[in-house]
Amino acid sequence: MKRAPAILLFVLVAGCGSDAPAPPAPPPPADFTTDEAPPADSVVFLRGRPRPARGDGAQEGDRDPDGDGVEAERVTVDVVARGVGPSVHGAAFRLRWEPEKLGFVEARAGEAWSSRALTLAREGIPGELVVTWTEKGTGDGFDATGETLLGALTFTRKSRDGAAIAFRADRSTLRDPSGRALTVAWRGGRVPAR
Amino acid sequence: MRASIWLSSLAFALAPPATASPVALAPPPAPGDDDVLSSHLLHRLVERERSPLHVRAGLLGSHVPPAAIPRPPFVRGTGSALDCEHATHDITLDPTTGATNATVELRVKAARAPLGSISFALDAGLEPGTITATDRDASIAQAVFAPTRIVRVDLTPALEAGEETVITMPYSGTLSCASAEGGAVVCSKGADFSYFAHQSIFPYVFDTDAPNSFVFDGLTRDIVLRVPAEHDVVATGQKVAETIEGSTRVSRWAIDRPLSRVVGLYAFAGRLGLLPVGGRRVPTTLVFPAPKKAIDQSLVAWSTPALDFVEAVGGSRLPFDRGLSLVRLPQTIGDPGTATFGMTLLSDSYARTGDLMYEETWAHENAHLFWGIVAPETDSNESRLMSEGMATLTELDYTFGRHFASEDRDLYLARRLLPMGLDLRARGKDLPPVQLLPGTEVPDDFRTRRYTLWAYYRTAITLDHLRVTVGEELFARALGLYVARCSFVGCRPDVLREIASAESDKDLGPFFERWVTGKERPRVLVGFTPADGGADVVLTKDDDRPMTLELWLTLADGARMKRHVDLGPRTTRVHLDAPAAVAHVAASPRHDVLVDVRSRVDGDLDFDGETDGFDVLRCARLVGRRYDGSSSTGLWNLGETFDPRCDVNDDLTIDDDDLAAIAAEFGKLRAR
Repeated sequence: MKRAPAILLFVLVAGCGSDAPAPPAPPPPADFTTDEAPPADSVVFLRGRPRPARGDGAQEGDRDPDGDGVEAERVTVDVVARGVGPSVHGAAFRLRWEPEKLGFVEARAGEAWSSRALTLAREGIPGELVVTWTEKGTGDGFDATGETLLGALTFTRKSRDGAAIAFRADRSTLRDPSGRALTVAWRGGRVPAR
Repeated sequence: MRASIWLSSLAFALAPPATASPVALAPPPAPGDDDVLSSHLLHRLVERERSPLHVRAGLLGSHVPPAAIPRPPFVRGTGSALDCEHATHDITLDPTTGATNATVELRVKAARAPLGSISFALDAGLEPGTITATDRDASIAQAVFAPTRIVRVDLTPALEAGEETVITMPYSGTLSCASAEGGAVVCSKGADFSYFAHQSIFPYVFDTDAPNSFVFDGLTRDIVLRVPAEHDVVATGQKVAETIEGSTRVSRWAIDRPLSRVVGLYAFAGRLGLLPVGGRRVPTTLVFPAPKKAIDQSLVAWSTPALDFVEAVGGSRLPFDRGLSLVRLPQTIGDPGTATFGMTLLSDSYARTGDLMYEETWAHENAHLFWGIVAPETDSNESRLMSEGMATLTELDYTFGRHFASEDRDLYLARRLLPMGLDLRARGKDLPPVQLLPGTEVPDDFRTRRYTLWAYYRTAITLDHLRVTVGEELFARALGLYVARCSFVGCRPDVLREIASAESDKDLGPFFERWVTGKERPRVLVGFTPADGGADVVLTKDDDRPMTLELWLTLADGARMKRHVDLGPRTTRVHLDAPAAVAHVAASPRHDVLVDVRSRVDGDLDFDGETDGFDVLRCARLVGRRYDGSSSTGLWNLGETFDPRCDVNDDLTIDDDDLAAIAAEFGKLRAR
């Protein structure tokens, strides 16, 4: 939620009565910023997923892989399709980032895919991820005319620096059931510096 | 009637020849074996082209299915000493009643060995008169195997090697035009479109001692046909003259170049439909049973482009300077069609296939005017490379030019060859090579489907593979030279090898050893590393014998470059220049049926040297796809989408096992 409406909500609530509950804390800053780009009718983009807060104020998902008491921050980005069309049968894409800044943890296909779908993800070389999510055989695929979650990718931060995650558009594609490539723009993004 | 019974009957009915040589023939197929396929138009045409004569082949093993697929000669016969040189036919015929009074004078020579007996096959309703032979006695024996009469002429003394004689056989009677077992006919009487094929009014000549010999024996012919004046007449050959003498129309036809004695002769008489085909240098006429149908206009419209294309492929004009007859056979006759001297024939039953395949099949038959008639093969039992192979390749090329010219030609041809290659994979792995070596014989089980695979598919695929290997221009040039050298003389595939080798200045012996007299499918692994100004390519195969591949370099901007690379030793390393970054290095897909080209990186199906989602998506949507090659009709399959690269275990089914194997290699990337 943007800051201005949150402030408005605070004022309205304050004006209603002195025994109203305290407004919820604003959400933490976004972990990820999708690249700005010219508008596109059909697009696949990365979108940061806000991390839910723990009761102690820390963020879920923090880990301490090296046991030094400092937990490594996890960044989860959704892979979202919008305006792609009524029939998505398969997705294949590649992402690049600087491996000294981010470490790949996992990829998960979204619920748009059927239980029979084939899901593959591998960091083939440091800092380059290949992912395939696809239905098998005949079938109509799923409708991605509206905003559709294709899946999610999780990384760990290795440094405080900002880190870009970019699609390799030349090796990324969505396909319909006939195997035809769907025209999409690919939008990566950036994990902001801390 | 089984072959053995026929032979026994023949032996009983006729005095056995002095030098009888039993010819072993395979048993005829079980009726159920080809029943389903006997009705398929492609296979009917295959069988018709395979055995020039319905009825004679039917005599050799005639438990034929109802659709009268003629049984082919399954075994290459012993060498024949019969060398026919010239025949003169004088035939008086009433097409309506079938009343016939005729004479044939046949000049023959004994080639290489003594010749003591010659046989004729003609309609059972016609009986021979007194048969004579110059300078020797001729005794005859005859037997009727309805609807055919076999007349055997024994010469005393026999012809010594090099000696010749003229055999004169008068024959007369009323044509029976009966059906053979299975329904085949060789004539059809009537006032309208009457049909008289070889073995009806034109006696078929064969060597009594080597009836299955298909070694080229060409002879010239003069034909005089005398029919009632109200009848039109069209016959095989070049029309020399036509006059009306009283109430008789007398037409004279010449086959003035050696035509194989086993190639069919035809005469059509009656109230014939005749339409001129425009745009041709020589008079070209469509002949059909009147009245005209819409398909006749289609055939006329198709004929000029088809003939022009055939001549372009052959590299010269067809030599039938007096005229060309193109015949629409009514399906009621049951003759699928063929080609002969100055004449192409095709049944209108092929209209059922739709305009595209009807036109393509029309092109196929017209292609035979070169490939089989003008340029016959030495022995069509040995190979069909330069007859059916060339006619099949021509039809594919013709259809591209006529209907798919906006497509990428390489991809079109690969698409057409794919189902034929899959048919070979399904049912043709143990077929003999394209050219049988001396001493080898066609298998006993050479039924229609397998014959189609051998004579049509593997030959056409091999020719296109050769074409890609040596280049389009050189191949075209070689064909023209082949026609020039082989016109009206029999040639073996070796002649093509000699010509192509000379033109390319490259020994194509290894190519022919692998794919013409052999049946290899060598595996070649392709790998590359992007380099400055191009790519460093590595090709690996299992032997040291040379071969050439056309490689396709796909650049980062999507452009495609083609480069021929000679592979000599087991590993070939070559740098290929390119104006932009190279993204993929693969072989032309037109090599795929005969060369097992793979990436050096397992699972890399698109030959970019990596395995990613593009390799997986190629196959994921095909899971569950199965190729059924049981009918072997791949030639007529224009839209096959089965992808052999996704069939990892080569079982003609793309399933989860294949996808799992591909997925297991996922994620292999080049270092940055």
